[in-house]
Amino acid sequence: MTRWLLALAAVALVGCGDPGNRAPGEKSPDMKSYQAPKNGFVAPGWTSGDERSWDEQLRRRAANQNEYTRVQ
Amino acid sequence: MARMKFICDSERCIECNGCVTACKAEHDVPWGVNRRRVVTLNDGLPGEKSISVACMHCSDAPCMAVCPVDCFYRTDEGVVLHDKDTCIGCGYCSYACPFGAPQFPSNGTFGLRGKMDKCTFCAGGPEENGSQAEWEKYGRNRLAEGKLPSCAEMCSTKALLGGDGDVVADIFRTRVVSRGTGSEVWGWGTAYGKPTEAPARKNGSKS
Repeated sequence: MTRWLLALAAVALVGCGDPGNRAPGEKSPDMKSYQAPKNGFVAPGWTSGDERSWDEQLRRRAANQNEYTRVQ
Repeated sequence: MARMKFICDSERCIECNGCVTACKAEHDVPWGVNRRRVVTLNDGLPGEKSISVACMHCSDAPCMAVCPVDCFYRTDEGVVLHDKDTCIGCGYCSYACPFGAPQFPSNGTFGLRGKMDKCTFCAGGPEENGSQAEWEKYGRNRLAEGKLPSCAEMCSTKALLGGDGDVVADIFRTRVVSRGTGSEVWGWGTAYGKPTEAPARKNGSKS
């Protein structure tokens, strides 16, 4: 009887928990930025999963903010 | 490896709030939360300056240092992100941040102050890139789409520059050399550290 009560209490306590929370200090494994999502918004000109091509893509895109070179 | 940084060129910012609008539209940011905003100094006086302010993704981020639940993390590109599943909305980061970047929605889990929200450098959060969960909590992940932050790419005068620190610093340097003025970058030293002081010269020596 006591075992049943303990098991029931354990189940009830689990129900009160929030499965979304992580313990303090535990890092969530974020995906690498060069892993492109599977949607239609990915910019062309680079390969998903290839860090070097992603790096180059962002560098090119950042350099494009320089109108001194863009107008040449 | 790129180190992502923002520069706001106060000589160019015209206070159009295009960056603010771009950010809100891109991430569907709720009312009352401004991940980015434009601050005008000496408004209405000769020589007034405007600057666009958001999270600067500091090299030594004070928000990370004070968070009691350690919900912040830094990506390989130097972007400071946080995990909303861990955040308890205490507001310590808000007090620690020199830029006022952390924002708190008023209708969140914790009554009047919900979980913290801030600029993600358009890099989403810990969820899968481009997933629905990431979109709902953090907005669009443009970096994973091979793009730069919406605010910087949308800036009409290119006052706000975002991207690899080397590239944006080069662009800014070119401008300063061309116009011969306005080399002050607001917040740069606070966020990324000031250059170490040169050793004191001996009396009489030339620089």
